[in-house]
Amino acid sequence: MADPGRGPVVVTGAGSGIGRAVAEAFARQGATVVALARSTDATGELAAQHDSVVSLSMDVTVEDSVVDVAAQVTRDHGAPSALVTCAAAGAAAGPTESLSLSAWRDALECDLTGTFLSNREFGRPMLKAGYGRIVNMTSFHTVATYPQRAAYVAAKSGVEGLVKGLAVEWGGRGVTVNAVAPGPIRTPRTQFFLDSDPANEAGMIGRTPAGRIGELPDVVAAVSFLAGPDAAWISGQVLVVDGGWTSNAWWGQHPFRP
Amino acid sequence: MTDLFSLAGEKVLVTGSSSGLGAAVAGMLAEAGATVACAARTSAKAEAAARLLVGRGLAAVPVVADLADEGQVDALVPAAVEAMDGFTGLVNVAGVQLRRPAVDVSRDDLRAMVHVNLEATYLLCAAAGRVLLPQGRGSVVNVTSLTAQFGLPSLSVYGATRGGSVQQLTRALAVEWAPSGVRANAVAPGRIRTPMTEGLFADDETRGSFERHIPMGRGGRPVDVAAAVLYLLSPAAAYVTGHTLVVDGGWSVSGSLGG
Repeated sequence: MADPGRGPVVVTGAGSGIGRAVAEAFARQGATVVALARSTDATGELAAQHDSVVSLSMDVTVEDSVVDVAAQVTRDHGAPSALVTCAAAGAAAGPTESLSLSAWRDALECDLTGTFLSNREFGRPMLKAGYGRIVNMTSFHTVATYPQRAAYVAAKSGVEGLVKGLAVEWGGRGVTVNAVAPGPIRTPRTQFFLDSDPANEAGMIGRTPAGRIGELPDVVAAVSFLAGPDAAWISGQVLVVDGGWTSNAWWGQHPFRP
Repeated sequence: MTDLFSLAGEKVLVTGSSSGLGAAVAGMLAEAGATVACAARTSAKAEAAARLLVGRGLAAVPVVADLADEGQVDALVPAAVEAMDGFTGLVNVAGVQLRRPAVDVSRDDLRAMVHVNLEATYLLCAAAGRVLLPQGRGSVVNVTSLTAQFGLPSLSVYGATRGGSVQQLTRALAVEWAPSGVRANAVAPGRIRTPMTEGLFADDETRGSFERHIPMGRGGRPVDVAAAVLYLLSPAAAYVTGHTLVVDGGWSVSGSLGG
């Protein structure tokens, strides 16, 4: 559902996990994709595999870096048709009573401030062009969370506030701003959690009505819908992709599971 | 990637398909490859809706039910199964909106909205579940309303029956049916220009007020809602269930005074 007649699709955090999957999916559709990450090791591989992928280094926590890359992208490829922000810091997991200020700041700097900077710099050319689709990756933790994730939840909830603020401010100028909030998705980061204790996977599946952990294409499809031309009148929303997790208040194994 | 949004091989019942949102939904689902059973209150309306799609080279069949009549509601899903020779999805679009100050809602008004907005929606979902659960796959999308979350004058009973109740029903079905591979989601439209709301949009002052209050600066089109329904029914939303997708041009997140 990408709009082939328009400018590039810009993806932050495109080196791994959800960002990489999003970049690959749009590239397979034939869109020009600007794949951004701090290191171009992984995005460079993507660019080598797909003619339509441009790999650039950008650090979302460094203002000059975002400003310079956004200017370069707009100059070389035109105003972006879509921006998908997937860059994220580590989960800053741990007891909050002993969470260091620097760990808190790292989470907020990358997940919230980095999203703001990306939205501001890539949003400006979209406003000028009168068209744009922004999809910011948040998390089902903004609906219902775990212990020891306070910084992560605060940052991602902040992004959803930003989504509302920009939707209201930019809606009249052709730019929609939404979030996709994935539930447990099998990515390198969650695979580590799953591998660390077999009970973790069983617990996650037991808690998820759909009875499986989400896969990258589940998230990519939601992004593809919101970034496409048909989602023209959806703005300020959080699309939750979680197999029913946050609708579910049942405890333990689902009573109707075969 | 494009196949993610394809409904090829799907057989979907759409209520309220003779006009407005329902017609747009039926059209978009059929264009995405589904066979659509177009439900309407009279056979003339249902046949006209189906004929319109068939005339565009799409697959559609008419089915008839007055959703205020419990017996006709009970017969609708079986009729759709027979007419389409199968059944994989249901979209509940039909609804009754009677604008009345809460103190002026008559028992007849109340019953009309409860019967169509809540009872018929529930009965059709349950009937769909009886077909879909043994199949181990399928999807239901209920059109609800922003009145699930917001109060609007003269829409108290509409909000309770079409908004809050159906949104919660959808969430509960999603959790109950997910282990069987059947998904349930909702779409909550904001101000959409349809025959049901034409009176509001035809008034310049009211329309101007919508345009000032809606961040995207316009009322919605039926296709804006249909696109959300298509996404939720399609394989693209395979891991989305229990969700209410708001399609409102940013209205519900705006506190703007509309100046």
